[in-house]
Formats: sequence, structure tokens, C-alpha cells
Amino acid sequence: MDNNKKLSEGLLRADGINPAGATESERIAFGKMLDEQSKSKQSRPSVAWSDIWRIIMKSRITKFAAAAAIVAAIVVSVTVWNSSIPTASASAVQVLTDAAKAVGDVQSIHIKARMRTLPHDNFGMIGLKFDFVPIEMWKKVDDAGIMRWRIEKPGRVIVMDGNSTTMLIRPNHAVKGERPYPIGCFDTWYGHLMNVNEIIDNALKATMNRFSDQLCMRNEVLKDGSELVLEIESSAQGDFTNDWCKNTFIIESDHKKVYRFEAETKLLKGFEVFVHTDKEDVLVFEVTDIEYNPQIDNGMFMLELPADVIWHQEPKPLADNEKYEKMTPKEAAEAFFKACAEENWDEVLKFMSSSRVDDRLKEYYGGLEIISIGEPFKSGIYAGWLVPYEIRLRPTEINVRLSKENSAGRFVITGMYDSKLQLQEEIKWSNEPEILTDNDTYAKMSPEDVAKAYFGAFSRLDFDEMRKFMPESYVASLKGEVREAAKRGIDVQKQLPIVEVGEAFWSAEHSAYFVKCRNLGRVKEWKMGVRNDNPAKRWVVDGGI
Amino acid sequence: MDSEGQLEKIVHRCQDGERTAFEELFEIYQPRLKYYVRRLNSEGVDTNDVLQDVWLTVFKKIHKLKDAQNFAVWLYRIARNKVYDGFRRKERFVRLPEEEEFPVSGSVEPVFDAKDAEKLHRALNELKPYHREVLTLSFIEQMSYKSIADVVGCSIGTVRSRIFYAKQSLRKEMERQNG
Repeated sequence: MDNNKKLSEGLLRADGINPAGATESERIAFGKMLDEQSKSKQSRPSVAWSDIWRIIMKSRITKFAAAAAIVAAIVVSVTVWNSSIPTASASAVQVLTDAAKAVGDVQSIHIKARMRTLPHDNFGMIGLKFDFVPIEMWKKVDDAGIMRWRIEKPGRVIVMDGNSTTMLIRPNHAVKGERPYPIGCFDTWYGHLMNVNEIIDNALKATMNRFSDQLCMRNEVLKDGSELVLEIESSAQGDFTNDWCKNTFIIESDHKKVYRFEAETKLLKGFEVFVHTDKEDVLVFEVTDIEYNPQIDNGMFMLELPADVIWHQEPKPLADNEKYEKMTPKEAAEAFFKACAEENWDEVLKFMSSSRVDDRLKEYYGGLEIISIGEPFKSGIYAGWLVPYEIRLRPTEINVRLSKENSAGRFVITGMYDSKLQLQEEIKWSNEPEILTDNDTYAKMSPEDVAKAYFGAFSRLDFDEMRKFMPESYVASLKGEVREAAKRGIDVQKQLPIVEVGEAFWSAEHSAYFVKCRNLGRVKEWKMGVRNDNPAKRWVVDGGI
Repeated sequence: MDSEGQLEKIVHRCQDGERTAFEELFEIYQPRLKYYVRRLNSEGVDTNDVLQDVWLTVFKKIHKLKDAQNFAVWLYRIARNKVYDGFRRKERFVRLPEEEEFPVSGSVEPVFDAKDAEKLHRALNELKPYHREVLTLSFIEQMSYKSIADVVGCSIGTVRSRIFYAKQSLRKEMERQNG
């Protein structure tokens, strides 16, 4: 025997594997699999009819459509009896087999969907109270068999150009995978929708092998033709002793996936996901349109990145890596915030996966004060630890520019400046300030009065009052941010800035009135995700900041 | 597989639906496939589940395999995809870019003796995942650079340089473990 073969066998033995062949239990399992597959080609079944009935009736989703489900069940049972097959799964298998054949020739696909998620957050992240965000997916296989795909939502886009996979988190954070990851990577589970045949394969496997998911197939007769509906009930995966991660990803929720196939063509035409809660079933994902074999230009699979892109990559070992490897999650969180407090950005970078520290992060967290770091905990299937924290952000000086050169003749805010009178944000009024019913009262207000009134209204989240000093678009945007924060469970009131209004002054340089203000710093209380499952084995901040 | 001709015949018999041919294929590849999947999979994706999925796919798709000689590449590609599919379920963020490396010309590639298999196995587990993968395919299947490139989906040049650096790292790791 040559060295190579001996080496191969030696490696296997070192791993406790007998190179001579499979183990007895593996043989038995494989034989069982062959038996089941062979049976499925002839007669088969596996999901008993009573199971199907139980699944249909127990489903909170289908309860409202119980009558339809019963009709459907009758349709299925008739099919079953007529073909002398004792259970419903036989027809499910047939439908799925036909559906797999139907998509066999699909060269390209374009799917539009909507999902309750946040525009910039993980592709797979869900929130039962979030608004729907549009998602689009494209896939194309060219004549040479090279596959390209793209998945996009407003704040993120991920593209596979045939060679590598790149994700852009807008505006300027990017991740590149050196290999063409399978669709669905980067936590875009719904990317798998583009592999329609894979969905069908998995469903087929579940049907025939009685995996943990529960499955129900029914026929629904609609006005415009009938649909074959496949429902799969899945339980949340993970440990929810602490339920922080419950219902934050589909896989971490008790949910039902509903696939709809056109009865005649067997093509997938719809897909929905409902998350079950104690009170209700919440639709969190819904395909709104599927187009088969559309023309898609290859430019769709190219991504133009901004010049100031910040790359994220797996952390490499540091010269003093051991120090960081030894840290507990709590120590890592403390060290990260301490480095932010000291504005030691080289140290901060040691806890990040990015190539440099974003200026926005520096501005936001620089000089913070740690109030408390709580005890880390695990939740769901998240590989890292979640560390509760409470910090106070650094007080900052701001100068508010005001002008009363408008038809209403009252002071309104036109710009935000830093302590050195450098412009931070131009407040653009696309329309003239409105003439208020009590305009005279407001026209008599001094710049200081206006600043006090505005920040006072801000602290009460009195958006109507804020509109008297700020453009409608600005207030609407702020209102949206507050709403999103509230949906994420953030105590918005606690985190509002406390602004101390000082004296007004005239700047000859800017030919404008300014009011000196001091943002006394706000408190942020949240959970930070840290994980060390990387080659450097040190803790990296993975989210929650 | 000692004889490629023999393997081709088994694959053709599988394509004809012969049960014993599937069993033969399973006996031949299961041990090495298991070793490969375990090397890819250090983060808790269940190896048995992956292997079960791989063989189910083989059973259902083997009729589509056009070139029986290409079976091993096809099989390992399926396994690789199943493992990464498992990763996908567990990850919040991502696996990240791996830099291209180019061997220094004139450098000597280390050679490994079968007698050191146990040490080599231990050291292999300490390598970067993408180094571990190419070496595993090279050691257990004696795959060519071209076949490895087909399995991992990169260029032959990348495989060549990866194997070069992987062997250097492996040698260093073995020396480190030897103290």
C-alpha cells in the first residue's frame, strides 16, 4: 500500500473512523433510507391521515378557513381512496414530485416579497410589530451553468456574481465572501425561495421521512383556478430560558410556512410565513409576485461600492491575542465600552470585525460613561452571548442656527452646528413656514424662546409643536425613527436627549442668529451581542450597539 | 477507489436503480466523506444529519450525473453545500473574505509520512478552515488540484497556493505540538 493510501487510512483511524467501510448502524440507517425511497416510488406514505387532520384542525391559521380546509380534506381523501393509497402524504409526494419537474427548466426567476423586518438589519431578522419592508430577489443560470443571484432590501443588498458573494450594508459597510456561497447564505433564508426545486426537495424529504416538522397538503378551489397548498409547521429552535431572541428570526419562532402551487402547472406561485404567538398568528413574510424566466441583465449581479467602504472580515489573531481570548463576554463588553469612553479607537477595533472604526460610531460612542454592565446570557440559537448594558452618551455642545426671514415672520431652525460653528446639518425648508393661527405669539418669540420651545416639545415627543419650528419632512422622519425604536422595545422616553438651552448670539461670519445649547447626554440601555467563534477566538461585537 | 473503471460501473448501476450498487458506493465513500464533513464542520452542524442528506441527494440525483468519472467531485460538492447550508441556519453574520496567497517560487513543499497520521490529524484541526479543507481532500481522496478546485469552487491556482501554505502551516503546527 502506498504512503498516500496509508496516510488517508491513518487519518480516518485517528478520527475514530474505520476506513474499511460504514458502521453497522450507518448501514441500517442507509438501508432504511433506501427502503423508504424505493417504497415512495411505488406506494408508500408516512404522515398518517389522522396527523393531517390534526394539523389542519389545530392550526390557528387555518381555523378561520376551517370550512375550506374540510372541503380540501375531502378532495384529498377522495384522491387517496380512488388511487387505493391509504394516506394523504401519497398525494403530497406526487404534487411535490410534479412541482419539482415543473421548475426543472427554469433559467431565471424574479421574486418580489415583503417582510416584517428593519431595512438595515440582518436579512433574516423579523419583528412581529415591524412594518413590512419590500424585498426583491433575482436568480439566473446562464448557458454555461453559472449561477448568479441578488437579494435586496432598502438598507442591504447581497450579490453573487458567479464567483464571489458581496454584501453591502448601506451606506458603506461591506462583506465579501471569496466563494460563491449557496443562495441563502448571509442569513437570507428566504433566498432559498429562488431554489424552488430545493424547497420542494426538502418538503418531499419531510413528507417521506417524518422529520420533526409537521406537514399538511390540501387542495383549495379558488375563483381563478385551484391551488395546491403545502403547509409546514415548525417549532422554534434554540433554548429560550431567556426569550430575548424569541421571534427575532423565523427559525427562532413557532411558525407555519405556506407554499402555494398552481394546480395545473405545479409552479410555485405563493409563499407565506406566519409566526404563532399566544394571541394571534402574525404574517411576517409574503411573496407578492413571482416571475419565471424573465430577461435579467448581468449588470443586476454587479455591485458598485462607495469609495469610503468599510470592509468586515473575520478577526485575525493579534500579537497579544491571548489576553483577549481569555476574556469573558462581560469583560469583553466592558473593555469595548471602556475603549469607547477613552476614545481609544485602536483598542475598539480589536473588538470589531471591520477594517476601521466608522466615524459615526466614534461620534456617537466616544467619551461615553458606563453606568452598568449586566450578566451575559444566551438565547435561542444565537452562537454568541448577549450582554445587557446601560451607558450615558457624552454631553455635546451644539449651536442652533435660526432665521425669521420668511413669510410667517417668526424664528425657525435652519441648521445645526458643532461647538466650533462647523455645519453639522443643514435644515432645508422646501416650503415657507406656515402662518399659524396664533402666529403673532410665535412671531414675538426670541431665538432662545424658540430653541427652548423646540427642545421642550422634543422631550415630550410633541410632534405638532415641533412642526412649528422644523420642516414637516424632518419631523416626519424623526417620528418614524422614534416609532421604529419603540417597536424594537427601546425605552424611547428614557433615551431622548436632554438639552440645556443657553444664550443667543449673532454670527457676523454666518450672518445668522445662533443659540448655544448643550446636549446633556442620553442614556442607552440595551443588549450587546458578542461572539468568539472566529479563527482568532476573541470576542467581537456582533450587534446591539 | 482503486480502479476508476470499477467506480464508473458502480455509478452506472446506481443510475440504473440497482440497490446493491448504492450500498457499494456507500461502503466505499462513507468513511472518507464523514472525515471530510467533520473537518468542514466545527460549529455544531450535525454530521450524521449532513451525511444523511448527502446520500439522500445522491440517491435522488445520481441519474443526472453525466460523467461517472466525476462522481467523487460531485459527491464532495454536495456534501460541502449541505454543510454550508447548515452554517447558514446558525449564523447571524458571516464567514468572511480569505486572502489570496501565492507561493514563493523555489519554496519546498513539506511531505508527510503516513506514520505521522495521528499527529497530522491533530494538527489539521488547528488549521484555518479553508486550508484544512483543501488538505483533507488532498490527503483522503488524493484529489488533483483541478478536482479540488471543482469541489471548493475556486481556481486551480488558488488551490495550488492554498495547499502550499496549508502544508507549511501544518508542518509548523505539528512542530509546535511536538514542543
